[in-house]
Amino acid sequence: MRFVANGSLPTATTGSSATAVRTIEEVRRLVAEPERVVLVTTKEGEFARQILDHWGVRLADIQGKEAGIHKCENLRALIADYTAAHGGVRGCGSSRPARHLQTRHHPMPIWRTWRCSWRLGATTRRRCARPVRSDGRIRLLELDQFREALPHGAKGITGLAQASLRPAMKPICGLLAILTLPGHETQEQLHLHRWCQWISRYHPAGVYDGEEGKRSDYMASLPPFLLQEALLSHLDEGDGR
Amino acid sequence: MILAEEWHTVDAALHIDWLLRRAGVRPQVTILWHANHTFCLRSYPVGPLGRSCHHHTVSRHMIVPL
Repeated sequence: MRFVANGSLPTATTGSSATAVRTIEEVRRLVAEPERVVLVTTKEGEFARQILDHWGVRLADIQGKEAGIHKCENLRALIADYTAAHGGVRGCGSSRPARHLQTRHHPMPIWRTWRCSWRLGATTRRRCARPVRSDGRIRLLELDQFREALPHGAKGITGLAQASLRPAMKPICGLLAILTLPGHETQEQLHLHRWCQWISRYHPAGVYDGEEGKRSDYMASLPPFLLQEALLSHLDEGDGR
Repeated sequence: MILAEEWHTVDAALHIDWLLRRAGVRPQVTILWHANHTFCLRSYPVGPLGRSCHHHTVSRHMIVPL
């Protein structure tokens, strides 16, 4: 049995070997093997299914976030079920999957309370499929407007921060929690401050390692810094908006 | 303008909102919180966050949950 756990389909990893799956050819090769293949993803399972259908890839099952539990819990449950039924999981002989699950896993008991309580029903899916209209509460941007605001290749918060810079603006701070890059970096007018790196020294296994401690540190220490070092001086001069 | 995303930043956004209010400069700052998946909305009370920040999304599939 193979478990494919991923955050996004193009960068899927196998639970048994943690091998990166980056191309459709690799996905097809994986599912062509005479084993049961299950995709476990934090994305909507229905969206993953549509992508795989588009590729012509058929899997034994897809466990998306509609399952209502963290994907590590999903993997554990699948492995336990398969082990109980077949006495073992092929390809999981190494310690890597177990270590992967241990280091990436973080206890979030509240997630378990959502089990089966937040599946998208048929009515909700129909509402999602309808065109969304602007109203007093929702303001829509056309895709072209959104694209125009971003430089070519810009992505995520960093891209938006770069895009928001104008010649007349004073430097701003982009605040990230990426752990393997310099703690402070300046890109022209943009200042990047990477938080929680002292914690990552004790949790070197990845961004999810020590996650709760990083979140707590981020929550407590970033806002005062942001206010004192970045915001107040601008607001005093009246250009805070 | 402050733009935050992912559920990990919710408490930080609420903290910033509180500090700005205490400093008497809250009206000068716009806080946007970007919702890119429904985990965010299930993890935290949307009401208090909605009173402190403007929700923002680029996915029509997030409109209904929001």
